Amino acid sequence: MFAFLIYILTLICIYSIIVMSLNLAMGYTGLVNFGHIGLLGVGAYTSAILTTKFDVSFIFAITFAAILCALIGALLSIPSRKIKDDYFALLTLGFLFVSGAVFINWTDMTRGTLGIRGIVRPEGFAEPISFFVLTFIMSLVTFFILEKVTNSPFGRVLEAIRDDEQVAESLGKNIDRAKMVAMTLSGFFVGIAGVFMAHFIRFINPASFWLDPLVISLAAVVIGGLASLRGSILGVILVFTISESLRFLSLPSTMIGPMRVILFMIVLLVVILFRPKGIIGRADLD
Amino acid sequence: MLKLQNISKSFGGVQAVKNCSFEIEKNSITALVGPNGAGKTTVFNLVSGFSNPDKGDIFFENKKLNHLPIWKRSRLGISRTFQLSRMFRNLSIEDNLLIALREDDDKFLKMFLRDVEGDKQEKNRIYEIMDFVGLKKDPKTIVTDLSYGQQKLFDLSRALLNSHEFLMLDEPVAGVNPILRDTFKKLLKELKAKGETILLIEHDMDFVRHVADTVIVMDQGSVLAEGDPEYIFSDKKVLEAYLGTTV
Repeated sequence: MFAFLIYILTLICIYSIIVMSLNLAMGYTGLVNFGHIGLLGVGAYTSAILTTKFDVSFIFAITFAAILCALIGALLSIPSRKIKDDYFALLTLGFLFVSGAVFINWTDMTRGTLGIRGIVRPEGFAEPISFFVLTFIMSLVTFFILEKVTNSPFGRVLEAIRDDEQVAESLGKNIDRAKMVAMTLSGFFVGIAGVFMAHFIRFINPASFWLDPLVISLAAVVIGGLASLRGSILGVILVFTISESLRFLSLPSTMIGPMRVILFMIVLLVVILFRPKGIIGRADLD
Repeated sequence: MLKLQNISKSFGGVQAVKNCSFEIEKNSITALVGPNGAGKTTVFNLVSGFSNPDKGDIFFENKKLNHLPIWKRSRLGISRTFQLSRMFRNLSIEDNLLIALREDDDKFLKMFLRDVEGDKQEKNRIYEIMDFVGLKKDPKTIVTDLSYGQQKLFDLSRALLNSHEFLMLDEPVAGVNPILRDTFKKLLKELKAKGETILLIEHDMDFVRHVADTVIVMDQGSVLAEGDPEYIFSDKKVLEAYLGTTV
């Protein structure tokens, strides 16, 4: 039971980083980025390949993966100059499909659908409890950095962009640069989360970075609340509580998966209908 | 200060602005009037960069504005309001106005330089402007809680706080009550006395007559007449454009 608890807590910490960084782009800046999970995969695969094939250190791998994801995040922000709202979301969904195709087809590096096994945890953090502590510290660091960003005047500009980017620009704000910074930071942190995910599970394959984590992340952002980092963490805790509590019901294993989806949808519907800003969000879904 | 030279703009098959030329002098209030669809708001959008002219040039303080992005035009000193209030609807009045007041908050690295004294001064400046325009509301109020009239005052506050040389007000008194309209008259006169240069769009001719130094009448995308209010409101062409017949 204790081992299971540590497993869930570690996942909650990793998903907190994923969801907080998604909230920076989506909740604060208004850039709905379905490609976020593609970036998570890029971070995970980069670290897995570097540590298993090239035998580099965890520190080097995490730094490289985070910078690579930050750069891809910056590149993804460029089309947002011309492509707005739902169309931008569709474009980023395209990135998720492209990244998935790369994970499947670049078999020399990714081993395709077989995935990469034997990813080791960093030295000194091999035990689940110590790895959990490391993940917890990383999620705290992410929280404090993003809290600093979002509570700053720069964070206020991001929120202005979300609410009406033309008006923000008419007040002299270089909105393209601000959006690029938001997407870069978002990419940087989800890249780090990807690395932690790979070294935690110790096995990754293309299915690890497909629609399931995307649905979990989006549900957590919406339930916890847009433009709230605390809401993101609360959303992740609620999503995992709902999801994992089903294990303790005496249901056939074939029913647990569909039941999870049904429960997510019910909670999402209730939140959207009765608290459009999420539980502790600061912006609505309009 | 502002010069439009033979500006034209079409949207599909509709020619919204056709060979439009006029100049705005410093420290003056100019009213842009004309029937609906005359091209007034299109002119505002062309000057502030929300769209670009198909033909012609726009100069601001002798600098050509064509194809400059919106934010660069704002930094040159052009500040505007909108026909219908456009606010950062999830933020408070204070946050909305701080965004207008701050000039370097879109620079990420600046956020690490905290200036407590500067923050206090900025907030005081906001309260000062709210007081000046008569926006009596708790600054922490979410902007969507403002009434229609308060939104108009908020629009003016934001345009004033945005660092500017030139104010463009799109129908500042449309739909407001007579008391607030009189407040606006007084405010605009005070602003002019302080050295402001203002271009406004307005349908309320009594308001225009009271505040404007110059009136530019547009019809079907072109300038129909230009001059002081008394001359303009006795011009047959203008009355025809407005009323469809000569009086």
